[in-house]
Amino acid sequence: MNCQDIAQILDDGDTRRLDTGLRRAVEAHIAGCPECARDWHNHDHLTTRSLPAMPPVLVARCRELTACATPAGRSQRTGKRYIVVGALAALAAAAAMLVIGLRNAPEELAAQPEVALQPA
Amino acid sequence: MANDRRGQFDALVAPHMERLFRVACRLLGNAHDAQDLVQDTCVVACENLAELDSNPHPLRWLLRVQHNRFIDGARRRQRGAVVTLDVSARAANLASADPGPEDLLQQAEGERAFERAFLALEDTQRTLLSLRAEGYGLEEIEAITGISREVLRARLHRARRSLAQRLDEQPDAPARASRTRSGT
Repeated sequence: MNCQDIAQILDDGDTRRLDTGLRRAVEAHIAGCPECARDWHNHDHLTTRSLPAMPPVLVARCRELTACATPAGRSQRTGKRYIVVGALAALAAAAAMLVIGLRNAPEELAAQPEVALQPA
Repeated sequence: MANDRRGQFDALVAPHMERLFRVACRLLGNAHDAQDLVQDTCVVACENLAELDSNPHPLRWLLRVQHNRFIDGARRRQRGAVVTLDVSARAANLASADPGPEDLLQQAEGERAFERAFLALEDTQRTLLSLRAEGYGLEEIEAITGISREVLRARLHRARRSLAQRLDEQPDAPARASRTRSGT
């Protein structure tokens, strides 16, 4: 057993279910290799630490959220619809402003020469 | 309609929530943030129930969503006040024989130091070590994180080195506590 073997077990092995022979080989190696010993113990520490139990209310809460959630496709379609309607409304507003502007334009143009013809 | 969705949730998501919560607790170091992360994951799952239903590995799919949510949210989350797991309960579970109050205190400090060192790791390193601690192998971690196996090996190695380094930087490194608990 060498450092690479230890790394391989830590990467992909089940450190809690090593057979006796393998466990003894690991123990023998880490007894003489502080770096592997440190990695092994840290992994062991992470693996065996106690974690809080999941609160039962979390399942109920998520379950209720499920009923309200909108399927992704539908929400995307709705979003696109809002964008199209918004764009059309903006276009209509712009067109209305243009029409009003054009209606007022002749009057402004007619008024301008009078100002220009006045003697200095 | 809503009842159908509840039924799908019960069949597709609920059986995996315990696992999601455990991984979230490891990643975030406290149950409150873990609940939020699991809830976010469930919302995404519920928006994509059809995709989840057709996936041959629903737990991997859920863990992948959770991993992405964690990575997305990690930068926004506060990194202060993270050691909120029940340290005293954990210290009481340690395997030393009849520890006195001072031993318990020392072990609790060791646990806190370990927690701080772990939570100081990069987000992906925390994910990789958490998934390994939950017993997932390289194939599963590859499917969950989308990181290729060879890269995973290198990253796991770096994550272990980083954890050891951060533990060395901690004033109350838990080397003693972890070694007394270890069977090796």
